[in-house]
Amino acid sequence: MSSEVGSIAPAPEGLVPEELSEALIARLRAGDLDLPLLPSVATEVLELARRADADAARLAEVLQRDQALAGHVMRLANSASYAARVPIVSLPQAISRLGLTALRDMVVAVAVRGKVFHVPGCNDVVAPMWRHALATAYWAREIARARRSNVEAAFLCGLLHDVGSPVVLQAILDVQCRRSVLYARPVIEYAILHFHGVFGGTLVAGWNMPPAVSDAILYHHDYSALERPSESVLLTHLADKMAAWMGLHDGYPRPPETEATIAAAQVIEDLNIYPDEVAQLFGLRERIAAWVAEVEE
Amino acid sequence: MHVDVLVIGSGPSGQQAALQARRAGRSVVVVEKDSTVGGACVHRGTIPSKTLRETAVYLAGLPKRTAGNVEAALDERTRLESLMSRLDHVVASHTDSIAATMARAGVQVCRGRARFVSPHAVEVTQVRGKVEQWTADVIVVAAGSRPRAPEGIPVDHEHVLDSDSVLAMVYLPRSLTVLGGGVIASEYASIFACLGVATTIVDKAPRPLAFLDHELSEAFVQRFDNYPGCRYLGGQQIEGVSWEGIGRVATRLAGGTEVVSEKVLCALGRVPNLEALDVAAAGLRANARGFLEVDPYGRTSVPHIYAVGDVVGPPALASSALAQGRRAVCHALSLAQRSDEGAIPTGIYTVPEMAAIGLTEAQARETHADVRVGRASFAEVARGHISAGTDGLLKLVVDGGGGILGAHILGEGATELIHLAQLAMAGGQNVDVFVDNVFNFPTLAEAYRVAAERLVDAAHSAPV
Repeated sequence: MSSEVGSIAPAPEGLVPEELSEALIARLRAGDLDLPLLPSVATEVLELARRADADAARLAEVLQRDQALAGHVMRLANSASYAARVPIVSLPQAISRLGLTALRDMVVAVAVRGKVFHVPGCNDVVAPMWRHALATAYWAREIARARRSNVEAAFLCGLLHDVGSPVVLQAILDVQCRRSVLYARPVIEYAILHFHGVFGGTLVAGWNMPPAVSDAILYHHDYSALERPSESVLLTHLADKMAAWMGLHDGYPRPPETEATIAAAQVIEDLNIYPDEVAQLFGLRERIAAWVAEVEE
Repeated sequence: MHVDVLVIGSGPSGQQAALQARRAGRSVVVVEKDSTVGGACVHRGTIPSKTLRETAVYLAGLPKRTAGNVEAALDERTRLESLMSRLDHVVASHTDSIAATMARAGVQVCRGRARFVSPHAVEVTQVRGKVEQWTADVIVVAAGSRPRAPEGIPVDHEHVLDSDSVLAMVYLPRSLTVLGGGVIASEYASIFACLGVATTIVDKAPRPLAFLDHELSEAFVQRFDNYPGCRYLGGQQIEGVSWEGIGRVATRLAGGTEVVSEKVLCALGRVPNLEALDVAAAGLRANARGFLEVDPYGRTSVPHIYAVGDVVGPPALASSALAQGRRAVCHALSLAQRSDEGAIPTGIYTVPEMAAIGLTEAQARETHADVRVGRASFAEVARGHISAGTDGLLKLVVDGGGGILGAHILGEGATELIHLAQLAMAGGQNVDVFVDNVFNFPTLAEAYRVAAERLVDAAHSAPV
């Protein structure tokens, strides 16, 4: 399933002015968006990670061209999650320690943070969005693991589920600039809430991501439009709620999440998670907060 | 709430038990912990793996069937889900069909987790936590099983997978080590080998699928070893598995050998889903291997409680589970049962397929004084050449009078072909039936005629 630009509904007029809705839809239809590409180093690492002859030395060589990325790899490999018995001092050593899956996840995470969750002058809005995305990724991964489902796609879906939000924000800033208007923060938040799915879907369409990722982006807030939502969409929906419950909000107007609201959510029934299993998930909160903090450092 | 028959689980054995009870006019409730009926067979086992297998066989067969004019090599970026794009549709159609059949029959389905509170009472906890209690005159435990996670093998569903998580991999791995030599291990190993993944099977047994006639399992190994980069390592003791980073999972074997691959699939058996049932509250106890002990009718040590399907252990196949479910309820409700229920076929969806019914040659020689064997290669029938499947074989095992004791087939279509032998055996026919009756031409079923003619000719030429 992919986003259909032609079928975007305008946001409710009482919440988002009609002219802003129209301007955003027009820009999306016209392809008039600054859609970030993944940095070349990240793309190259992702490509290398899929090759039969991938080796730590070659990956290290590529990573060294992006010092920020290399720094993150070193930090993560030395973090408590990977429980290194001896300090990791070289990039090849760090890559070997992390493995291809973790390396790929981290490279996507860092690249997305740097290129997408980066709107100059709006760090106060975008930084929480990023933390929310990261927490959602970890929650999705652990929920998938608890369900004996493969964790690779779950992490990516969680990480990228709100990738459209900063793109919408940037587009709103552009509209403000071109029309010399200033929208109130609630207006911006509602506009992001309404448009981030379809903007995100358009963005990742050029990134060669698995279809599960596009579905998670498009339907993670409301999957009722899908006759049979995939497990990825359901996992991302629940993970998004868990991240909000931790206090890591996505920056939209949304009711607060509590253990009670999550336990009562329809997705719990749709994923067939029984009360004791829900309680076990809640018990992961501290661990996931620590992982988010590690990557955040 | 009270019903005549309460069935725990809606997999093949549970479905059959419930439907049989309804046919006898009894009130029935099926307790199912998942959101849809069908059991692991539909959602995580039989149906998903067969859907992938169908694609694998089709792709692998293309070059042969098109005389090399069409190549179908998969590159290393092939997404696994793209090879199973029909899966959602297949699973949905099948679960809808099961649900409709049960609804039409008047079987009530109660979604929740079951737990015995006494020999006749079962507490059901729904997904929202609401609890209700059911009592029943007859209870059938058909709770199914899940993959075993042996100590020392860290199944993380990321680098080391089990049969529940293996099909959720995003990409086809470059290499795979499959631990185990049973049905699930052999099926997945051959499917991934067929898709071009360098696959190694590691097992303690000298040959996989040891319950099969040795000719079939040996032929399977021979064909598996012919896939590039694939091998069967039998007679091995697995000492441990560890993820060593950079797409490298090491499987250490006794004697110092190490098998390194990108992913590992742990398929070292399954464990029954009994813990949450609290069977002790019903007066039951699992045996040393964790399964419930039953008599030939599926009756446990508590006379009104029956156990069927994976909770009673091998063969743990859908076909045997169906028969067990029906047999248990017929016995429990004192319904008439065929005394000659007949043998149940075994279908194994490896590449190539394998199927068997009745006695293996070795079993027959243990129990019968005069045993004869007739063989046919698919290369001896025109259809084998037309479909580029000449490497199949069919083996008939008969007694001195030509009575069919067993049939064993390897090759595409084996799981369908075996039913001819099944019906012949059920009808008490001897091997002449395959000579006296005309089959369509060209078909693989002709292999029966070829094998049977050999037996008949040999009998006629035998010294009097």
